[in-house]
Amino acid sequence: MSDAVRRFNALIEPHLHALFRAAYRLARNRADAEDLVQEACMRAYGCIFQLTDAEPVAGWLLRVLHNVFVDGVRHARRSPIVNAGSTLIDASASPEPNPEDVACRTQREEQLHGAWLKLERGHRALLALRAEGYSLTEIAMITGLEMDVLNARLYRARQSFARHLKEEPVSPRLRMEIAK
Amino acid sequence: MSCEKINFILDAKQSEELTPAERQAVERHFASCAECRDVWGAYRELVALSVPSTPPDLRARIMVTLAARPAAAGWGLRRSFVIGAVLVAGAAAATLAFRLVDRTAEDESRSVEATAPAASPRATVEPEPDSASVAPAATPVRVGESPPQRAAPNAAGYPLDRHSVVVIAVPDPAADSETAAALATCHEVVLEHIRAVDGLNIIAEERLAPFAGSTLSETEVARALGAGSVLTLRSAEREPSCSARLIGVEDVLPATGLLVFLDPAWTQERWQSFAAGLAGRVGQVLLSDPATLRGQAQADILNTALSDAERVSALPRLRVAAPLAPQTFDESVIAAAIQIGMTSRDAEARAAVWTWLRGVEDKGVVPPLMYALANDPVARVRAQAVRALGGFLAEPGVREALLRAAAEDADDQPTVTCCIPTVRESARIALRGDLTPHDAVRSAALDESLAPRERLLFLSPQGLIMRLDAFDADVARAVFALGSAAEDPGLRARAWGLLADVREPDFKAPLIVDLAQHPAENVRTAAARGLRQLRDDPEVRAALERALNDSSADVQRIARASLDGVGPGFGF
Repeated sequence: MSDAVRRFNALIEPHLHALFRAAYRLARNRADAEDLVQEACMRAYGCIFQLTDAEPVAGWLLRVLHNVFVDGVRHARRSPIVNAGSTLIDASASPEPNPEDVACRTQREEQLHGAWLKLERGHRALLALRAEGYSLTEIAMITGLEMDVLNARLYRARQSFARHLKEEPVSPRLRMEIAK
Repeated sequence: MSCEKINFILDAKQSEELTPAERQAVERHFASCAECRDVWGAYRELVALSVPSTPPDLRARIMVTLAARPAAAGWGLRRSFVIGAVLVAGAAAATLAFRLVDRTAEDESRSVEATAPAASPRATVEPEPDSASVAPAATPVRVGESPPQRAAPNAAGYPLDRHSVVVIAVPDPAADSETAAALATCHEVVLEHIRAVDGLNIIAEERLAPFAGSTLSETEVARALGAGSVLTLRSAEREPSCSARLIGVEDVLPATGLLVFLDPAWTQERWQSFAAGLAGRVGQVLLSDPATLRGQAQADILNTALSDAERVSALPRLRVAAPLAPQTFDESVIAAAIQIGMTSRDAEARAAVWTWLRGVEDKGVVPPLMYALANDPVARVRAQAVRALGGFLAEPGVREALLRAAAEDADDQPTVTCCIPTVRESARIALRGDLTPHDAVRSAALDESLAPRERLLFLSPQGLIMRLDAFDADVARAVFALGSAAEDPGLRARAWGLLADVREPDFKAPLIVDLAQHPAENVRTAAARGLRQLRDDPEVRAALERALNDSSADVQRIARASLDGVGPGFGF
């Protein structure tokens, strides 16, 4: 095992779970989330010898992930993340109590996904990180944004999301569910 | 409670962290404000969406990809040179540049820096902006028109991601509309191409908006964003043009490469070709290791499907490993280069061939060089051929040809005051090619029969390659005297920059004055550089500290480097 791989195992691997969760929040589908994590890890590996044990690796990894997502390395390659027409429900989402609930939630989730995909990437990144529980200070560190800029953007991101969600068409099935 | 206050509370805390009083206030507000209710309701639904567990095989797949990747570290020092050299290749690829000759000559000086024996521990590369070729950065970075904001610091000191590239266009506020439009087009087209480079992470446009009006340097902006590289685009002074410079953020003084082109007949197709070449080079620099670059370069020059300019652009990339050492190009590479130099209809490609063949030991290049010197209609091509001939003074007929060129070549009036040698001057420089570099520089610097311009040409990186502290004090005094007498900003900057390696308190007075008040940015920059060895002198220190507030980011940066005692002297 090379030194680089050993360091990777020691410094980065412990954060894979957090990284994947954040990536999933960003991409809202498993394949893209895995790609994002993989890309971020490649970048991290590129400067693995500059990291020291004492450094806040998790925050740095999230920044790399954020940059990868927002600046669209993947966007150039292929862009399922912005493919608003696709259904991006993850089949392995947490266990569902009964089929009716599943159907109902899936419809609503589709709407949420639809609205999500209409957001600009920078807004998606902020909302995803916040939804994943990162504090404003942490998000400021990850994104490099000033706190007041961050506050303003988060606010705008939430407004846009709510607006898109309102505009998102309701499927006949969901309308039936709501009527019930 | 107002919407603003509610947003503030909800932004600051996740909902489960609210106190009962806050929770009540929020609920009361929601009951009366539909907009906040909708906004936060939608957001809470988003938060509640499930996230699957991490795939068990994710780690394994990442490890497989890592295993296929080259080692992660080990060529950082070299990279700073590679950036310079390869971007020059980009210049040749773009070709058009009527100033390509100056650029290649100057860039060669940078390659010198990377290997100069007495260079500072970091192989840093810093071109001297001169009036001939580089647009002065008269203003700090301005990405937009918004009011200044404090930038987010890279407070945690994270390592920077070198595959993340901040792309900034730095408009010249004094530019006319045509110049501004050229830069805007350049920015747009370069972004389009560089964003398509797989593996690079491009930070530009709206992501830089928070830094609008900031007085931070480009590298500080990049650092704040966690990016390891910056690509700046500028226009040359009062010219529709675009120069690109790639900077490695982690280098104390940035490694740079530079493209300059000026062509009123620039077409959309040429923009695209320029941008594609640039994006490709940046990708190569940042994503490839030197061995891979060399392999690609070798393939490129032999590839007759490419344009002459594209093929020639491979030559500097082949010199990356040892720019100063005798060049050991393969025979096939030399043959291909000669063929381009002899037959290309593209004068820039011909000039670039002779530039990059300088230092080759293969005597087979002499006849084509002699032919070019005698017959090429374009002066800058002859000037490069004559310089390359300086390496072959012992070959029959070469010295005579150089003497003839020094006396008779039609190109005897410099078109640019500093520091592009005419063919006659180039021949005189080349004629000292049989002296050791040290003796050639010394003899020229002290030779009062030469014009001041020519004496400084010898001492400049385009002449021979020496640091001034490798000479006796007479040479330093000669340079100081030449600088003091020079009214041309380019020449004056040359002289001051050369003094960076000299510790002579008698030289400080005019440099301090120039640093404080010379109208030309390149002179102030060079003065800041030239004072480096005197930084312990309180008067010098105070002057350098005042220069940290200079209106030019370059002057600030060099003043900071001089205060810290780092960085090369004048490009070598």
